[in-house]
Amino acid sequence: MPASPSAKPRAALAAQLLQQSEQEAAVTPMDAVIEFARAGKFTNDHCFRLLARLWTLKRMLYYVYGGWAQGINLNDYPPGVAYLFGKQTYDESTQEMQYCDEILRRRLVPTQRALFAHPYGQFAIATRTGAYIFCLRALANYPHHIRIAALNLGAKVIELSWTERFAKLLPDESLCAVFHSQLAETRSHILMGRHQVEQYIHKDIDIELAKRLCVETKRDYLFFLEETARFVLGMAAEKAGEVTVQADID
Amino acid sequence: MHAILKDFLDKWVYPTGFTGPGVDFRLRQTERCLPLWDKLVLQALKAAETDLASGSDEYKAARARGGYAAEGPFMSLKQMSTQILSVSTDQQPKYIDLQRMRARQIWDEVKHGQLHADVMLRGGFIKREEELMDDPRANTQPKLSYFGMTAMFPHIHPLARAGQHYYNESMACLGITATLSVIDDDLIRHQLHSQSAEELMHFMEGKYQIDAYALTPEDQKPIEEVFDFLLRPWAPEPSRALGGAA
Amino acid sequence: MCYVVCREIEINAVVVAPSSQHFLEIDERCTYPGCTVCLMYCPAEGSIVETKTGRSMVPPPQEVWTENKRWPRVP
Repeated sequence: MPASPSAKPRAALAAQLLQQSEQEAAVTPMDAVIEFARAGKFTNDHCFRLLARLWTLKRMLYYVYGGWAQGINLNDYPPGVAYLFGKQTYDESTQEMQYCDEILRRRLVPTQRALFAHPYGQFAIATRTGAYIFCLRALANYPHHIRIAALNLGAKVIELSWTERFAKLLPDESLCAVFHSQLAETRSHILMGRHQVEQYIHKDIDIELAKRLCVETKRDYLFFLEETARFVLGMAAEKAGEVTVQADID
Repeated sequence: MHAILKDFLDKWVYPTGFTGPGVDFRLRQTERCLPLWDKLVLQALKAAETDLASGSDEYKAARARGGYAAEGPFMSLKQMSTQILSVSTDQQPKYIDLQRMRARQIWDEVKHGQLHADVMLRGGFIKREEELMDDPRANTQPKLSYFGMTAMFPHIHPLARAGQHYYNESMACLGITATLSVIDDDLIRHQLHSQSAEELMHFMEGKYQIDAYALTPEDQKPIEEVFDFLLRPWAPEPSRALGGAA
Repeated sequence: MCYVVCREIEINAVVVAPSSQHFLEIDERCTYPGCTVCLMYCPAEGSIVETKTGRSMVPPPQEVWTENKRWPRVP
């Protein structure tokens, strides 16, 4: 890895990515779900739809992280990178299990197998969920520090934001507890993203790639949230051109 | 049979939660493993005694470097992620728990790498873990064929890894117990104690996978072939961390 | 492993706690002593204790894994 003349541009890049993501996280389609719930309209079915859709995303992340891990070779990075990525993989799995547990605890389905078979728990290729998973899977084509920049300083920042609001504002205590319990993990992933950008992004092209890929990843994540919110609230799926998300890279 | 093995069998191998063809298959494979498990215990005891008698601290570093090479952070990410990918999306309803176990094991194994690095750091053999990146002894995996076999499991069967879990993770448990019965050095004991519960967990995963999932000849065949491989006379011996020469 | 086993036999009494430590908890869905399957796959000595007697169930005492206690698995 070439030596960097200064750590300043890397710190600036991390700060810039974070700031942009925080701005985009201020308002997301998930706000409509919170407002609906706070208005007392959230039924068991809404809850099931929400948990099932979030679970479906998390269970597909095994394929994303598995693919990413295969793309890190011995001594590509100092050992801390592997420790942190190992923990992130484990955290995502824990959160996947949590969503499944909450669905079962609420008796929304009788068994895990029934959850897989239920229409709400299906993974479908031709969906925004699919697009986001495929987007993440494609990040395997890039060096690890660049894909971590794209995910952990992009979509993860948005995920943290709506999760914090759910943890604080949802009227259902047990749902709040589920989301609240995930905050420390998601925050740590973001901090890890900042650390890795500051440590390992050295070249101009990597800076530019991190910016571009972060934008694309966030865009697909926001579309996933849009699809999720519509699904939870029983709204029609988006029509062509109906939903647009800004994708400026500068 | 050595008392360490007998105790392991009574506590962890024979207690069985299921009946059925998976359990029957596992107990048949257990009979095949017993002579080699027993040999491993004797070998680990002898290696520990030899290390103690060496009169030098170098054995601690040799064990730690060997352990780092086998279960260092990057090796662990590679090995365990192959298992996550061995479950296709249409098999996920049946085998998602294999993916959950491997996600956990990624975290376990990278921590084990850190434990080996701790021995090197606290023993004064290195000043920073990054120094291990330049030491071939800490990066040469013992028996590449074993790790390469794991890497092939996505192309073989999601349950194939159960053979490695059952046969090799048990060796880790036995090697740890045998070594702890001889070596009184705090560094080595800390490292072994800190990972022993997780090694037993990984063995249990093999036991569970076979009991619960290996119910048909089609599901048993890939696991049995892994046992066939591991039980060859030239099969992998334990890593240096557990007293082997590799 | 108790989580995995309990999920597989569809009792689902072991859950990831909604706290940031994410401990595994056993809830009221547990049917012990009717079901003892999880005990046979728990690797953490002393980690599951019988409430009534305080005795450790890991590794499992012989009487909890007798033939009539085992869960049948059929292909």
